[in-house]
Parts: sequence; structure tokens; C-alpha cells
Amino acid sequence: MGFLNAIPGAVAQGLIWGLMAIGVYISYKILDIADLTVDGSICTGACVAGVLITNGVPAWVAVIAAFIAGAVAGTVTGLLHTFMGIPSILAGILTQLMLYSVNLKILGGKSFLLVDSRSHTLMLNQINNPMAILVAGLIIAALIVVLWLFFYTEFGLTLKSTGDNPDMSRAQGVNVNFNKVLGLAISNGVVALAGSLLTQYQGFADINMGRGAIVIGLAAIFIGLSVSLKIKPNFVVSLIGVVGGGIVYYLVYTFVIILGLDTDLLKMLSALVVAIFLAVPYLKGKYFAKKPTLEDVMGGDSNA
Amino acid sequence: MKKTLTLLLALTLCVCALGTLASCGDKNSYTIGICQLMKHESLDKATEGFIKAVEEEMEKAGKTVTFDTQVPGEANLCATVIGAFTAKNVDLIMANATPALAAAANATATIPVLGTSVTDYNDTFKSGIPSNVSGTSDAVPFGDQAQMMIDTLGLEAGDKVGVLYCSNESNSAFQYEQVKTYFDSKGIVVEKYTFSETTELQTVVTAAADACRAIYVPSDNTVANNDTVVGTVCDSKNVPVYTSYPSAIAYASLGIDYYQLGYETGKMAADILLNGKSPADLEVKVITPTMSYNDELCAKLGITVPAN
Repeated sequence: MGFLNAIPGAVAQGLIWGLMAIGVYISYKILDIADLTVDGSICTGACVAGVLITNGVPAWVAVIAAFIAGAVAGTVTGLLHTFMGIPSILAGILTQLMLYSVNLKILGGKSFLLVDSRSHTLMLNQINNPMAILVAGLIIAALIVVLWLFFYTEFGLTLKSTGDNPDMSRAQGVNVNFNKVLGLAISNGVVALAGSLLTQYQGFADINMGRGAIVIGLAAIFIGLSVSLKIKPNFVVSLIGVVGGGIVYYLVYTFVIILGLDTDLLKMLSALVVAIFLAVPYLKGKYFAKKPTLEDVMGGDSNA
Repeated sequence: MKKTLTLLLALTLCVCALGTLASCGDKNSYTIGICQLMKHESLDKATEGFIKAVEEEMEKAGKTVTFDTQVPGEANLCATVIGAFTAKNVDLIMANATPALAAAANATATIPVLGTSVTDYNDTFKSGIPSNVSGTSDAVPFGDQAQMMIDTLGLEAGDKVGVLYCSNESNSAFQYEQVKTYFDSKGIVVEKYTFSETTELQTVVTAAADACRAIYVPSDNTVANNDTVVGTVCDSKNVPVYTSYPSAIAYASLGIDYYQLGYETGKMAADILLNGKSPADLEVKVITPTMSYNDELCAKLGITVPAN
């Protein structure tokens, strides 16, 4: 009974972190950059939104502002990488370090900010989980549509090709550096957007909010894609799969907590879940696939 | 795939059914959800004291109580843990540390929430403490602490005092501001020395010890865990350290007993559950701190220990 009651909460949180995973998907899968900025930008989005909301700014404006802040953070990483030639992983780490100080300053030197749902109108909040699921779901749906439209424009396609094969893209006249910076900006903007929703959902912004965020994002991506790629390997289904991965991740967390298992083991159990999701398709392919016969290999006698 | 899914669902339903049977009791048994932010000596002691007090009161009243203690380890997971508590509809939530308290107050307006190891409720809840929230505070009278430093060291206007704390900690900045207000009124210069990772601690302490006549450490968990570094550096530079928690490196410390703090919270919980009080009726409690001096260290610097 407890677990059934806890499902809406888990789904709501899973949707928010799934949104964050969409941001990580853009940088990791599309641009092929392991971007560690996200640990900082999710917190930046939360802090910017938190400070604006507690100062009377309407929540939807705060969310857009958070997106912009995240995009700026992504741009910094992009410029460090393309303009100053720093390897992308290091560029991400440097921006993440910078963002720690920036976030502290945004919070006014404190490490914690309460965003009170009773005195400000929030877009979503844990006290009403079904509403939170609806709002988060709508935002994600709208974002997926926008991203789908964008990545299938001519320009958007060049972004995909940049991640796929930068050398070939450059040979075709694509400005690879500009694309990388823009891609990182969009990716971190989405992550910061998720951060702004998270701070409204849980009612506070904390300087340590981002620690380990990239791990959750990657876990959601791997879990989601291992299922969705089987269904249909196209862009929109992949994004939905990624969000689904986030939901599964949080369902596991909630299940472990409700079962009363030792929370010290929480991280290990979630890692095991990710490992299982990744291993099952691989093991299936390796040990349970139909062994190819001689005819399959030789192609039969159609063209003797 | 379909078969496994059905099996999984059936299994989940069984577990839930068993769960319902177990909780289908009358009000002779209570469930309390404890959300402790992370494993830490003071927080652990507060939880211990809380459990002890509630068990004692429940035994006296002839009722039973089960505790669901969760230690999420980070602020983000507090919302997940509290979500599980509200889903199970526990009778009371004990939130140990500020992020846990914020998560609990945010998620429910009906379940009573008691906080502990939180320094200032009014500072945390700027628009007013919610009606289902109360608890105990680990604040020490900062004015007394500052005065103690002034008296024992003979600090005068223009002297510099350094406040050392970790920027990650929710309560430390608040304590810095409180102490600063008091020192400012006496014309003593206060400078904050913050760090974010323990690797930075040594550098920051050295800079503080070089520049200040005395160092004050609020009840900051990160510093507390690494205070031997602070002690070594300050000893070598003959700069006295004053703390707001019991510490071996402190020349003088004004601290509270976290077990006692948790115990008081437990008594409040029993009051709510057994006597039908609501958190709005209960004022946030503080407990009296104890002042202790390290005679050896004080003698080294020629600090006279007041005879009380």
C-alpha cells in the first residue's frame, strides 16, 4: 500500500530528473561530449529560480531565466573548449568549479534557500504530486516537440553531424566550433530548466544539489535507451525513453526506501539496477542469440 | 517480457498487501519517520536521543512505536525519503538537519513535523513557521560566546577575529552573521574565512591564523570532522580557537549536547502523539549550552580561566 502511494511522488521526481537527462543526452549522445558542467548548471538553475521566486518574480519567468543561466554556463564550457583548446572533459570540470562560487553568490553567501510553496505560487510542488506530474509532463512534451523540430532543421542536422563526425562535417563547411558551443548551451539550458523545476518541487535550493547529477543523467539515459532502442531507434522515442529511464531510477529508489532496506546501500542498489539494464541486452545478444548457420553467412544460392 | 512484467506486478501487490495488513492497527501503535540528512556524530546522537525519549514515553503510556530511520546522505534525496513517509502516512516526521526539515515542511501540511539540529527556524522559514512544524534548535547564545572571547582575551576595538566555516553548511553563515553583529557593536573587526572542500581547509586556516587574534568556529560539521588540522595550525601560531561545539582543540567552547537535543525533541513528539498537542502549540526549544575551558591550552597562552 505504501509503495502504491509513493508511486506518484517517484514518477514526479523521475520526470524532473528525466528532463535533466534529456539535457545530458544532447551533450553526451548527440554532441559526443562528456559534459561535467551539468553538476554545476543544475544547481545554477535551481538557485536562479529560487532567488527570483522568493523575490516575487512569477514562476514561469524564473524558469525561463534559469534556462538562460544554464545556457550561459554551457557557452562558457563551449568557449573554454573551442576557443581555448581545453579538452571537453576538463572544460566541463572548470566551469563546474566556477559555478560553485557563482551559485554561492546567487544565494547571497548562504548555502541554502527555502522556496516556500505557501507564500509563492509555484508551477509544481511535492504537496500535490498528480499536479506535478501533469505540469512536468507537459513541459517535457513541449520541450521534446521543440527539440524535434530544431534538430530536423538544416542547422539542427549539422549539430547532429558535428557530434557524429566532426572532421567530415568540417569538410562539408559546417562551423564545428560554433555548433559545439551552441549544443552545450542548449544542453545546459535544459539541465538548468530541470533544476528550476526541482527547486520548486522540493521547496528549497541547496548549494550541493548538483553533486552526482551527471551520474543520474547517464543512468537514466542508459536505462531508457536499453528499452527504447528496441522499440524504435528514432529521436523522439529515444528522448521519451530517457525520461522513462529517469522514472525507473526513482521508482527503484522509492522501492528500496519503502522496503526498509538499509539506505546506506541505496547508491549501490541503483548502480546495480543500471548495470542490469545495460548487461541484459548485451548478454542476450552474446549467449542467447540464434547462432548464424552456413546458409546465413553464404547467402544461399540465389546468385550462384 | 509480458510474463515477467505480470510476475513483477503480482509480487509488488503481494508485498503491498502484506504491508497493509501490518499497518492495519488502532491508535495503540504509531509510526514515526526519521529523516536524518547524513551520517554524522552530532546528528546520529540527536536521532539516538530522540528514539530513546519516544520509546520511554510510549512505554509509560502502554503503546508501541515503530521508527523508520532513513539517512539519505544528500539534500536531493530528502524529497524522495519524505515522499516515502507521506505515502506510508506516518504519524509524525522527525527531520534531522535543515534540508530534511525543508523537504518535510514542503511535502506535507498535515503530518506533524519536528526538526532538530537546525539553528534558526525563523531564518529558515522566512514567511513564518508552518503550523505543522516545530522542533528544537541547536543555537547557542552567540552574544555570550562573543563576550566570553572578549573577556578572556581582552579584545579591544580594532582587534581582528576570524570566523572559520564551510560554505556548504546551511547553518554556518547564519551563525557567522549573528556573531558578527555582536562583535561589530564592540568595534571588533570580524572576517570570515570560508572553504568548500576539506582540501582547502589548511590553507584557509593558515591565512586566518596569520591575520587574526582569535578564531571562532561555529557548529560546522565539516570543520568539526577535521578540526585537528585547525588545532595544529593555530597552536603553532599561538592563536586561540573558540568553538560552538565540544572540541578537543578549543581553548574554550560553548556547546550543546546533541543527544540531549534529540531527547527533548522526542519528548515533544510524545506530547504531540499521546497528548494530542499540535506543533503550532509547541514553541521551538533550545537547550542550555555548557561552557568548558581547556585548562592546558589556556595556560599556554596565559588566558585566565574565569572561576565559574
